[in-house]
Amino acid sequence: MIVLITGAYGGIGKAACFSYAKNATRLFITGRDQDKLNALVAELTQNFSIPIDAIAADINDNAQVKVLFQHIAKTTKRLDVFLHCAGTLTQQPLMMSRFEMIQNEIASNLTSAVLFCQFASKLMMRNKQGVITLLSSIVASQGSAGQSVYGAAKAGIEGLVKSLAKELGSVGIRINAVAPGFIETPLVEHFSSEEKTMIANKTSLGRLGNVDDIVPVLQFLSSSNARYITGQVLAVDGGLVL
Amino acid sequence: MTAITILVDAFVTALEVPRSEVNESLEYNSHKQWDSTAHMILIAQLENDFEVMFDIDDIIDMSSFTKAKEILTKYNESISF
Repeated sequence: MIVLITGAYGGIGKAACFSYAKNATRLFITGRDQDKLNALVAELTQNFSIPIDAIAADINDNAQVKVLFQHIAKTTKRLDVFLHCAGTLTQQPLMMSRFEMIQNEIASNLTSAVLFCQFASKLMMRNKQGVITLLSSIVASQGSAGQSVYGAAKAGIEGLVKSLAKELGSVGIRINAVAPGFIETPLVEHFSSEEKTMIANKTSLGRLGNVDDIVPVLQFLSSSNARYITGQVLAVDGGLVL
Repeated sequence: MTAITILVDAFVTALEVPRSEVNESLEYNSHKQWDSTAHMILIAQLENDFEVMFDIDDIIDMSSFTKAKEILTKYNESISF
C-alpha cells in the first residue's frame, strides 16, 4: 500500500505517519519545511523499515505539487491512499480579516485539497482503485465565532467530498472526510486553558480530543473494512456542540 | 513495442473499444464509449504508458486520437507516431 500524507509534521499528520508506517509498503510525506520533514523521517526510520520519501512542497503552489506527484509516479507508478492533513487555522473576526488572510485560509484549507485530489485521483485511476481522506472540521457544520473563513473552507471540503465521490466512484476511488472536534494539536495551541475547559464541557464525553482519537478513524476509512463507504463526512468530536 | 502500438493499446484498454475503432476519426464525445469517465481513465492510462504528466490544458485539449498523438509528441519529442 502506497500512502501519501500532507501536513506530515503537524499534529494529526504526524500521528497518521506513525500509524500508516505500520501497514504501508512505502510512505510519501510532504510539508513546507524540508528540515522538519527530515526530522520526522529520522524518527520514523528508528521504528519502521519501509521506504519513506520526504518531499517539501507548498500545497498552494501548483508547480510544486506537480513535481511531488511526478516523483510519486516515477517512483511507484501508483498511489493507494491519500490523506490530506495540511491546513491552517486563523482565529480572527471577519471584520478584522485582511483580504490576503482570507485568500490564504481558503487556499490552504480548500483549494489545496481540490488540487491534491486532482493529482491523486489521476494516479489512483491507473489501477482503478484508491482511497482519499480529507480533513474537515466540526466548524463546517456548527460554526464558530472567529472562524468564519476557516469554517467556509471546511464546508467546501464537505461539498468536494460529496461531488467527487460521485465522480470517482465508477473508477474505484473512494473519498471521505473526517470532521474532528476540538483536538489538542499545535493548530489550537493559542487557546487558553480556560477556553479549553469550556470547550471540553461542551462535549458529551467531557474531554478534548487527541490525535489518537482521530487516526484510527482515518485508518478505518482507508481500509477494506470501509470498502462500501464513500462521500461521507464522519464527525469525530466527542459529541461536541459548539 | 512501437509508440503507435502503445497508444492504440491505451485507447483500446481505456475506452474498451475494439482495435478497429481506434483510428483518426475517433473523437471525444462522438464515440459513445469516450465519455468523461473514459476520458479520465484514458488520461491515466496514457500518463502511465508514456511516463508523462499532462497539464490540465492538454487534458482538456485531448479531444481526438489525432490530438493525443500531437500532445504526446509535445511532452516527448523522441516519440514518433
